[in-house]
Amino acid sequence: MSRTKFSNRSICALASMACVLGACSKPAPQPESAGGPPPSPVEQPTPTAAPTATPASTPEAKAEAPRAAAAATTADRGWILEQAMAVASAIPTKIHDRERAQCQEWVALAYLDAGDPIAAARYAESIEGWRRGECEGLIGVQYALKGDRELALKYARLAMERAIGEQDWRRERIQIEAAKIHAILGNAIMARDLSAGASQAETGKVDGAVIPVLTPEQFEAQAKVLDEVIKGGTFDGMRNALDAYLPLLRRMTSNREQALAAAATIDAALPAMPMDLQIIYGTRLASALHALGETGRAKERLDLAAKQVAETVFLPEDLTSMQVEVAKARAGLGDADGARAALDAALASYESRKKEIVDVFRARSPRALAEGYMAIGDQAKAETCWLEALAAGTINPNSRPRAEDLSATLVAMARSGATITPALRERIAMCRKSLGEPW
Amino acid sequence: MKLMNASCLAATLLVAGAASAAEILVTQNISTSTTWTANNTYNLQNQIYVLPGATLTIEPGTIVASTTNLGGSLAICRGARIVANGTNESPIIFTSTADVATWTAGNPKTGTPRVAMNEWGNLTVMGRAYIGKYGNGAPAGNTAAPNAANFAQMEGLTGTSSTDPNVIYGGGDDLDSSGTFSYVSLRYGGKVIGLGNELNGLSLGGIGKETIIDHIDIWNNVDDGIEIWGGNVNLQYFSVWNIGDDSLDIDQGWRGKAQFGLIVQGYSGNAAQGSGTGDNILEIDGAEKSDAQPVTTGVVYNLTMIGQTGSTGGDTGVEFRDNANLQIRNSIFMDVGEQCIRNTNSDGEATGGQTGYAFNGTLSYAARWTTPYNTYSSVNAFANPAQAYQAQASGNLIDVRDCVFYNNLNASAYNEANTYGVFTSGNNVNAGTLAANPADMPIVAITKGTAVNPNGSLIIRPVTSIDPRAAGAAVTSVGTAPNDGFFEQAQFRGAFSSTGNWLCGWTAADAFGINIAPPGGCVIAAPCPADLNGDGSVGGADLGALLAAWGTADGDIDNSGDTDGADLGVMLAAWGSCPQ
Repeated sequence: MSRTKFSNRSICALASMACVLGACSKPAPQPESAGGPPPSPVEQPTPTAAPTATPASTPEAKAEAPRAAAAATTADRGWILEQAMAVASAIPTKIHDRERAQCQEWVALAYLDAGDPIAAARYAESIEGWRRGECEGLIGVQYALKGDRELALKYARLAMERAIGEQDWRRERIQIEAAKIHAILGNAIMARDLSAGASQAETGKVDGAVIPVLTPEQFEAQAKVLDEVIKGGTFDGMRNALDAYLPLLRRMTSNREQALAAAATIDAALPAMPMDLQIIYGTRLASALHALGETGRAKERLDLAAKQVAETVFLPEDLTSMQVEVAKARAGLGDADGARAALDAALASYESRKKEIVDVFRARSPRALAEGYMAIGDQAKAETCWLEALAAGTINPNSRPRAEDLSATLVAMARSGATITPALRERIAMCRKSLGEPW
Repeated sequence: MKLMNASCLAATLLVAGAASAAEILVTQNISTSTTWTANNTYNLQNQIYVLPGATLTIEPGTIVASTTNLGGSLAICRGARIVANGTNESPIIFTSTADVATWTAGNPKTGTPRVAMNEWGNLTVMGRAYIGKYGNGAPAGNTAAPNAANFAQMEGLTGTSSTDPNVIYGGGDDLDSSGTFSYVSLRYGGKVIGLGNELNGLSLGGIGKETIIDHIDIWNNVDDGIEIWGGNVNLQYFSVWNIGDDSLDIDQGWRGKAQFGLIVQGYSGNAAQGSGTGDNILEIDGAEKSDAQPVTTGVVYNLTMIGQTGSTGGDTGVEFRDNANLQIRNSIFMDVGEQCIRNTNSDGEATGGQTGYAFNGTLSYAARWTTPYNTYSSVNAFANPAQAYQAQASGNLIDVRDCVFYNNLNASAYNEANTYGVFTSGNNVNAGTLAANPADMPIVAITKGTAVNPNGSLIIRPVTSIDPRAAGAAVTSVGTAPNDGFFEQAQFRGAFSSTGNWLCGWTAADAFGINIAPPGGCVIAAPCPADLNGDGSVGGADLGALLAAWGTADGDIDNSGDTDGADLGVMLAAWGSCPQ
């Protein structure tokens, strides 16, 4: 599975769109290079149960439970991300400046996913290098989607300042976020100018950024634009078009014919993709089809994705996250039992094969499993997997990979709405305490 | 000697002779992050792996001198890091004890060039970026299309199995970092223990673009000088001499940039795999098989390529194979033995009928010369090729622009160059063919020694002195590399301006007296460790950074491992502009 194909930028941008669409509370992806499933905040399946382990027993308690759970989740998220930032910032800059910046960015983006750009900005200030500019651009995108023009432009400007003197690919990653801000705000000329000269893979994302702010009357025209891009056959265009199409599809609830045509276009485009992307986009398409009431087709699409996972040879560290991707989508289709069975099978597979996975890559699998169990509301199983992820992340004797793993696991916990139990708190403290020389 | 973690490095302290430094015999893999310090020398006793998660930091000025012919070698596994940041004043040198024996009083800036190679192993680095490899001995699960699950076993390394994580490279993270290495000189290498093949001077498999590599020197290696498989790492400032096979060999979908490279063909002996004498200066393969992706799509600026003209020892200037795309700009082709540019498609893949350009609907070789750089093949393509292929930014998939050609005497030297219009477009200059005029030479000076025939069939005239600074048509170019934050906008052709010589101070050629210093001598930037923010002076910002790092390793100037009063003292003593 590719981490780079789904950058932090797209994670956060898509998550920002998801927030506008009311999807902030849904499970969010793991950070780039952390080994989780590719991000799909917009298309994540709706959990079949709230992410709490103990169901409320009385009517009063039932009424109060969601509010209390939300408060607890918010408090826990804050604590978890504070831990994550402390871990990231403990990584020494002298040798591991790139790893430190990446881990810090994960934390800032997790706050952004949670709809808290103020906290995201506060943490972004700690980041040295180009990732700070990228983060600031993404913060600006969220402000733009919220309609706060002044702050959006402020962050566009800050981001562009960080782009100065950077290598082209880093500059483009920042610049495109600024272009997206202007596109969302309706400054088409500025958006075009900022994206001029950037690679196709980046410029195509500007088109996708405006999906959340389109009116239903604009859907057809936008769909035609995306159809043309897909027909053009350039794969970066196709990828960007699919990234834009899937959220658009979910917004097409008032025009079934239009939606089905869009789904057919996406479906037809997938065989041209590498297998890992076929699986990922296939699960997202299944989720969208389900939302449109096309349950049979959704299930067929998901079964195909499951078959592809089973028949594809993945590196040992990547297999589990692909299995979890399908399981989560199955949960989104309302097949809680099927999802649980798939997760249990993936867990058993991981347990039997984990020694084949190099220790620095091992925590990715239980982390993905924990997110999967969170998606079906099984806090207890999730906790077991979080604990396994934390343990797996401490096998390597060096603190740099341990800190990266701990940061990634904490961020995944925060994004999943994990509740901090005493056991988790104790394990996290132990992990933090173990950090130090040698890095 | 600094304390080293006994769990990861079984080190034996000996007394070194020439270097008057403690010699550490490195006998076991490095699983715990470790620092090699300049007050020791390190002797690799076998194939040493830096295991996933560990970081090997090597201080400037550190010598890694391995017992001659023992086969010591160093490999950085996927998920591990190397941080080897030398300076031009204090380079990091990997070599053999036989080389060290020629140094005067252990001074690494001295020594005698020898006809030798294969005396120790090499530096191999393995990362997790995409590679293009399937079929033909690739792991069974590898796919023709880019796939994060595609991997390959590193040439010359023997693992416990073909999937041993210590010996494989490849993955799906083009932003992967394997660390940083700068001002590193690798000399007389290529030996591998227990195998019939040899090692390249520097092997880079699946290296991502967050890895930083600059100022690399390869002197006398039995196989290739630098070989890159896949990934998208960039290279800047490299000097490759007397290589037994190809000086720079690229394969499996490299998608990077390179600038400022000096390649000098010569000989270093006779060997089974690399012949011991130079083969191609650049050998550019696309992918394995030919229709796989990623496919090599790169750009190089400012190379000075010096071959072996008039002899049978040098081969092609730039040999293209297997769907490779490469742009060569602002460079010098000089003394090339055969054709300056050639498509051979000959790398043994013919057995499956998948030979090279145009295989399975891919573009023909000829079409590459006229197809814009941003036209991506749809055969086994990336989902987002423009993101994957970011190195080229203008022109065609293959082009040669703004280069100077000099003294390429083979009768067929320009056959393909003429076929593809190299001299009718692209600002290229042919500064002399059969009657090359020394006044037109694109470098200041070069001296070659008596012709030798080291392996009985390939005649070589070794370069005995060189002043590689630009001269003649190389002094000014029409265009420059793009302003992309990586390239320097050098307005000249070849690796050196008319005034500067970056070989000074850190390369084998300089230590051995082959490099001719420019008038006024080599200018070597003095180290300025107190300049923490790298702005060229030591001032308030550096002081602020030091105070912020107090008690940690982040502001450590004196390499004590901590930021403390001693570092403050060093900083205050260095207050003001850094020495030039």
